[in-house]
Amino acid sequence: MKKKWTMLFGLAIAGALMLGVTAQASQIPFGNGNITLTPNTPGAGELQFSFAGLNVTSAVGSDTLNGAPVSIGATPSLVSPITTTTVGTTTVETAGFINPNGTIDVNVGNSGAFAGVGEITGTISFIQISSVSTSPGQFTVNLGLTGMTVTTGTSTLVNSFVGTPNGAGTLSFGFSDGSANDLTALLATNTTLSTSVSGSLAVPEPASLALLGTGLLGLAFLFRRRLYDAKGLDLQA
Amino acid sequence: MPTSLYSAAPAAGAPPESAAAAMPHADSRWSVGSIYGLVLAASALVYIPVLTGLVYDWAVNPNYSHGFIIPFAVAFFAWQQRAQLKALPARPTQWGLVLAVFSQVVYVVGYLGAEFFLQRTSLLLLLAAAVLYIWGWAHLRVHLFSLTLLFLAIPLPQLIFNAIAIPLQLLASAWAAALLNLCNIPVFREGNILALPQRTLDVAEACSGIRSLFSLIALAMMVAYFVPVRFWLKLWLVLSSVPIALAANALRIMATGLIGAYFGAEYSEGFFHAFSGWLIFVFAFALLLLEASLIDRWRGRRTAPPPPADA
Repeated sequence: MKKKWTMLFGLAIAGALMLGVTAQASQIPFGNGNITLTPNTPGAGELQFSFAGLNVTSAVGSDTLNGAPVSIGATPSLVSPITTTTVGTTTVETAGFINPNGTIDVNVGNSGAFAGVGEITGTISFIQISSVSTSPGQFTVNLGLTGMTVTTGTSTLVNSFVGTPNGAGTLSFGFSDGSANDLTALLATNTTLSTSVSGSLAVPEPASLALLGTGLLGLAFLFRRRLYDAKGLDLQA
Repeated sequence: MPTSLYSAAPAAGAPPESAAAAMPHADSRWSVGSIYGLVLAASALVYIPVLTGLVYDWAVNPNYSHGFIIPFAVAFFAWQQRAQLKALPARPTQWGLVLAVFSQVVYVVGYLGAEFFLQRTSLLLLLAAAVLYIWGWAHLRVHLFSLTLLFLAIPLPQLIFNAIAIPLQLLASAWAAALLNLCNIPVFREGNILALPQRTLDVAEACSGIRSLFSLIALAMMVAYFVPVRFWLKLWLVLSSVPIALAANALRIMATGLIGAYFGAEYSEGFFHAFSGWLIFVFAFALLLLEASLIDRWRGRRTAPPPPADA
């Protein structure tokens, strides 16, 4: 009789766990797309970002970003040189670009059929590009913004922006030139890079129901003999 | 609303003589039963909307979905304690009335301030008051465990919740970044944002570890309940669940980063992510059980009068 109840309870918890899992499916805003990294003058450290062909893979709710033109324009100046940090056996190259007067304007589907979907504007506080020796040709770009304005629409690119409206925020994405790991060479040439673009990924815990439920199930199993007389903990029982 | 079952229990099982002694003004026209009925009806009128709101919160807030289980756990412990409670003499005290009035003051303040936390807490105070008024202090001491468990099912005010969650977010981010660095994964941390070469992890409120923290505290309380040691060792066990939960959460975030780096981003989201988070909680819980078992072996078997025939 007791076994039957334990099993029923277990099934209920397993069901709750599954519920918790689906409810917590992470909100990945977009997947593969293209980014063009174009130094205005080769080697000068001026960058222009433009996105095209963003492909929404697992948008939450409806999104009209599919195939819409997305562009980021920025003209910061390079003030800090490329630094190389070694962490264990991995070498990280970092370039910092700081120009408080630079502005960034991220327009998502701001033309044609996608007009007015959403917009982010702000002043660039930093651009950080980093790369790792173990992943040649892959770069991570962090755009720090202050005085950010956000017009949220159905666009997940805009909505996935990390930060406070009218405050500071960070837009992060990565790109890859496919082979070398040389940022200087990259900035010195007019190369168009094919990349994968990613927004930031939230890492939520499972719902507390799943957590506590599992624990209780474990307790009930461990103490199944002891539960009825409360004589104490005995893990060998 | 399983909690209302709990409030009904003392009234239904009340020994009539003690109730009559506690209520000198009850004359023949008003039987004890009808007075209890009236009080229960009034309490239901006040608290049914409160409980409905609470259940709704459990349903929509994944930080507090464990609220659905807590009443069952409390019911189980009340049942478990029935023999212990029966052995205790009933010594009703008028302090119950004082606490009941205080609980209603709390309720009114909560109602006027549209503060759900106070309204909900006042129900716990009222339950404690009922125990005190019908059975007295010794019984309340036994029920304090269940009341504390119930308290864990009440969502904290956002102000207090944030005061806990935001430092936890930063702490979890810092620990996870340190762990990732140990694994030779370069990471750039800005507050709660971890920039990795392939992925940027956003350690949001839902990632702060507050869920596993509350869940592990509740579980530690239940484990401590079963460990036959002195109170301060039980308290130590419950308190130690805090660093365990925090370390486990940092480990969870680090694992997400590692999985993203080595197996691709698709494994650091969706089912795999939820499953790995769950697995790490199981690990944390196992660690807690191990600690309980060590405490038990170190202290419990030596101090408690040993019943060897039982083993």
